[in-house]
Amino acid sequence: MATETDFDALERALSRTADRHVPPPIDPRQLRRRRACLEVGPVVWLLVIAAFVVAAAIDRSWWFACGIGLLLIPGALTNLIARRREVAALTDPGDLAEYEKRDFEAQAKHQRSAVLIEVTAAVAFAIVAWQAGEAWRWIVPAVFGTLALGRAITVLPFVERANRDAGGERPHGWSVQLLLLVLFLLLPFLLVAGGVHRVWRRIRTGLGGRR
Amino acid sequence: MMDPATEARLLAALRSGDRKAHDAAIGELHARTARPLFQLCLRIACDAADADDAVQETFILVLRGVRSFRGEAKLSTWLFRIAIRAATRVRNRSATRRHTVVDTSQLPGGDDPVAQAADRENAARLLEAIDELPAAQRAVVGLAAIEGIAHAEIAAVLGIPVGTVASRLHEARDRLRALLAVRRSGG
Repeated sequence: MATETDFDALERALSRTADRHVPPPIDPRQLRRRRACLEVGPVVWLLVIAAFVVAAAIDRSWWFACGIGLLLIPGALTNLIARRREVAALTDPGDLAEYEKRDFEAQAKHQRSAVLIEVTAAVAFAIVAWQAGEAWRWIVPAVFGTLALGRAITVLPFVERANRDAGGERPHGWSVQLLLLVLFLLLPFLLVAGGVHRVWRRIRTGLGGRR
Repeated sequence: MMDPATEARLLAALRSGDRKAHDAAIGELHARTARPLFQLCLRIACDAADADDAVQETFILVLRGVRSFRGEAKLSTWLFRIAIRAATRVRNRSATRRHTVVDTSQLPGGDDPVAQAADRENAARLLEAIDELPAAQRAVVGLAAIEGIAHAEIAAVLGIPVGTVASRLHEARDRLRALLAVRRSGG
């Protein structure tokens, strides 16, 4: 067995070495950023709905504005209040850290796939606009492209950094996300759309034949 | 580490809505406690990088929970409890432990580089042995390494009687000596 003196020497060596270590500084702003990130989702969704309602009202499409308002605003408000209550109820710091980790993990995964979906939509609508040859149709791919770019530049790095800070699992790489998107979203969508298109053509041909 | 008046002042500033006072209090709390917390977390996580993560996580958790802190224990006692949980969590999620304390030889000043290198080697040997202790013993060893901490405070942190602290520490040291002897003999 090692002697008491040997052991004390090792213990002193460990304490001395640890004392020489310079601890990384703590940044209170990072903490505030992460808290804001945790609560900002439902607020953004509510703002998006409000923007739709306002746009419809400006266009005097009152039935559309009321429809959106009645259908979506109660859900968005409930979501906002529930999120606030959920975060406030997590009084144990450990539970809050676990909640944050889960939330940022989910957000990091969601944001990557959202960028890919928006890019895909932009490309698809750009093809439609190009084939139609009407200038106004380019507004749609431009909106999707701007959304994808804005998300990739501002939201995505922020959420991924928060996820890393919270010790969350890294989201799948871009190639895996793309593969998942093609396999589970794009292909099923194209198959269903192709099927619907064929059925619609048969119906139209059938109706035409009877005339 | 902190007298009651300092603890009360820091708590009041941390709970205040004044952002400047809040940030200054965080800075002061970090300056006063980061080193003892690192000593504690290092002996639980058994790796310097993991210990750094655990200290950061401790501060984040403390700042979030400070409004709900009822003040039934000392601020430092609460801080150490959170640090033990944070270090245990970091240890559990870490795939590998390197048993190293960061290389400080590049820092200006300090002791003789040869002595520092010898310290690092000895520190790594002890960390490797501490890594094999059960969690409860690692926590006691970590807390006992904090300068100026009394057995009564260790007991308060861990929620165990003072006598249990002494016996657990004695068992841990016996076990560490045995582990170090086995390593020295190459067994």
